[in-house]
Amino acid sequence: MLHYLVELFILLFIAYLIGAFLGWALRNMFGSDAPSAYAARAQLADAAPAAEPATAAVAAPLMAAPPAAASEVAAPEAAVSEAPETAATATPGRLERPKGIAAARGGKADKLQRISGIGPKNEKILHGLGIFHFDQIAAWSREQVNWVDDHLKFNGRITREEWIRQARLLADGKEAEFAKLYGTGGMKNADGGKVSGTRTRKT
Amino acid sequence: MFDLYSNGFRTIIDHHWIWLLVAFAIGVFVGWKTSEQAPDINA
Repeated sequence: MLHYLVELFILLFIAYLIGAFLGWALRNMFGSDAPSAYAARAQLADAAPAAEPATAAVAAPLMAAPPAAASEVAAPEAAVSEAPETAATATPGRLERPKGIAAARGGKADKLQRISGIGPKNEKILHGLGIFHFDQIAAWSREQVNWVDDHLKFNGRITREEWIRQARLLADGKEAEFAKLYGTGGMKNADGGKVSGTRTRKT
Repeated sequence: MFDLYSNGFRTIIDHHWIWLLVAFAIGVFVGWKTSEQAPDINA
């Protein structure tokens, strides 16, 4: 019986190893176009910032099937339908990792969860990236926002939720303006509830 | 040494192929995820 179990586990392990190798190889072969697809979407957002809904509609199929995207999205206006072609050839050079710091200044990190859109999990990830303070987020360039957005697989949330603007207000200590625009942000108030501001995204 | 053609291995493959498949699928998933490497901090 023991012999049988050992054999079973050996076979299971071999199957797992084969699968792991195959998964790794597949990702390296076919998964590498994901960043360029993202860059394509970023390019689209640049090309038509005013037509956000149309851009989103284009971006969705683009993420799923980049090569077919241009032909499938023939319906929107010419300005938008032209974009996928330029986007398809875009390089992923528009992503830039923000510089992190090894540890929070003074040993005390800002409460990043105050930013609406950052929860405990994302705060932890940001700490892992060396992001501990509001002013760091406020200083992100567009390329850096793109990188973080891509890294967290946020699909544009950082821009939609206005992290940079929120971080700038908090870094500058403009609490009143922050409260007016974003309410309690990502935190709960003393009553355990959240208060929305005029700019808080309704979900 | 284990003999791949022994009754034990044959029985395992015949009766537990589904678990082998599951282990394979988990392996594919883990392999796929682990190849997603984030650059080092400040890279």
